[in-house]
Amino acid sequence: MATALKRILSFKEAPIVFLILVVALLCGVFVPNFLTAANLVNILSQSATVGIMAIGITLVIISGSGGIDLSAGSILGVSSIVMAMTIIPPELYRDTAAMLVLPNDYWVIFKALVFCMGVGMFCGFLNGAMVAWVGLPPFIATLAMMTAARGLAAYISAGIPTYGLPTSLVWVGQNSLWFVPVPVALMIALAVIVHIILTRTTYGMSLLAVGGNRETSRFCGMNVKGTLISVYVICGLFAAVGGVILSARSNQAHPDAGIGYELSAISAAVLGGTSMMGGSGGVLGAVLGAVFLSLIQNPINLLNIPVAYMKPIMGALIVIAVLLDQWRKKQSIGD
Amino acid sequence: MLKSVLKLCFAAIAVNILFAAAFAGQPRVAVVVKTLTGDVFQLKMAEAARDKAIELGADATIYQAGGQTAVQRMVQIIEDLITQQVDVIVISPLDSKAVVPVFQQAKEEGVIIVCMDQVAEGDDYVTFISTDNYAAAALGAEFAKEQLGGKGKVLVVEGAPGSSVGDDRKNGFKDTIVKDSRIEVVGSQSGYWTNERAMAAMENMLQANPGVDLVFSCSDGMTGGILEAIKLAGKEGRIKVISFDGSSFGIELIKEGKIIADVAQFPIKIGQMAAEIGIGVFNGTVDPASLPKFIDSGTKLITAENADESLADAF
Repeated sequence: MATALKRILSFKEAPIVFLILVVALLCGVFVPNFLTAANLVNILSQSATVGIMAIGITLVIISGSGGIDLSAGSILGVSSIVMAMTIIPPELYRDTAAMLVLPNDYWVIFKALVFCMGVGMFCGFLNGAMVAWVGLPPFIATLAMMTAARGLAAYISAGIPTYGLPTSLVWVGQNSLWFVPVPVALMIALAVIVHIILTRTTYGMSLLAVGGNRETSRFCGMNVKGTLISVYVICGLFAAVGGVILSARSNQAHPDAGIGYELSAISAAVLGGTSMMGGSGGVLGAVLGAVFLSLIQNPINLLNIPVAYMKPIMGALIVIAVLLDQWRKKQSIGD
Repeated sequence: MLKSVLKLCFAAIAVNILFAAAFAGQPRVAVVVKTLTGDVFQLKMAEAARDKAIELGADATIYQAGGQTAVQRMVQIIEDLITQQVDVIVISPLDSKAVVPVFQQAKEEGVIIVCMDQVAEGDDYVTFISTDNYAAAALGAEFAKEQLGGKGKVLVVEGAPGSSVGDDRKNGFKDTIVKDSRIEVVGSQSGYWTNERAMAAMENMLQANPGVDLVFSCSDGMTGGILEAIKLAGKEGRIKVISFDGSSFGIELIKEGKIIADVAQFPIKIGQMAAEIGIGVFNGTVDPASLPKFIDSGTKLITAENADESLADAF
């Protein structure tokens, strides 16, 4: 029995899985209409954007020395605006009135996706350069990017939100492969890929080493600066992918899209057992953390609870998750 | 080096004095709003106020706090405007309490303050021009009652928590729709004035209340997301939607048959009236003592019947 418990506790995802099960069980018993396939699918779909961002942010946090990306929400905003502006002809873009009906021109959509992700990676690269080459603290560097990218989104779009994207793009946000919504499938696929990279490749090992002890890694001849820059680029890319999902799901591009999402994504990473100290953590936990965040929003809407009650509850749950994680570490390192 | 710097300074001062002389007697008007980003209502209101002020011979500029919750930035802007000794501030306060001290300071300095869309506490402003949000939402509720034949289940998607405008709309709708009817408000949740969060709230509420007949959206800015949620739940055409704002976007949705009504506000009228009154008080043609503390800029229910004509003066 004790060894079984110990085995379970050796997984850093154990606390978040436990929390998800507890909340889901309570909701299943007490909240009518909670345990329906459609509702559970909704919860997963609603978590996809934050989940995908959280994968990137987890890598940044693992990179250590206060690694954090506050700009992910703003990068999401600017990259999704760039995507929409590539697709929508300028004369239609200024027409704020209509729900646009746009043709499925695959070449244009492809170009838009490339630009969108390119902008995300470029912003991420600037973050990485400020951290690795200039030596700014990640908090400051990405805070600057957060303001700059949001301002850029407002400037290039003239502050105008647009409605209506080509149906093939909306498919990515709203349709399902068998029973799994495309955003959820994408989130799971990206999480599995990054998980394998993090645990099974040299790059992943060196990232964990850089995060664990930067000086030692440098003395061992690792490319510390290159590794640092790469995680910010990946984080920017994933923020852009989150932007594609968010726009496609809501069929809209908005210059203010994704405000505050970076904090949800950071919460998701922490809930999933990633240490803010760097050097340890996992992306599967981060995705589960994102699922947990939409899971607790759901009964609030279902039971029609006033919103003011929810935020203190969320704060408390984050603390509980971290305490559980610390307890787990003590148990599994043990005795 | 020093000499050329000094020269430059003198030149700058001279230019400043010249400009000040050229604009003497011309009121300086500052239009202060929350944000122009993603908020067509604020944009049109601010532009209308500025353009009206310029038309009346004033020197007018728009300042934006840069966010729906950038309270501190707005306070700083007002402080700077007092230092620059502007004559009239036409403002949409972000927070009814936070601006009170700077409003007092401005009033002591003789600056004329006109509030539009949102109000501040105290009585340091000459008047407040806005839609009567409670009454306007009640107008939407009356129409909803008629459409539902006096019975059914409705949902409300609210604005951001703590927004007085959002609360007025929500309460105006809820209070009116349940009065003398067998209509029940089965869910009322915040969409935080944003599309994607309105969509998530709507999706979740539809799970709890699959048999709902009508939804009231507290802003056109959230209606796109609500419609996506209804479409994804496969209930398109079975749930009636009433929205609030009367933007061209909302009216187009009525024409497409996606929503049944939109309660209109008139941001352009609000902005123009605010500028007119501010400059009137400055010129002495309007007596601030005779002004009511609240001026209703009016409202109108837009349905399929009057959608086309309403589009002409919509924002």
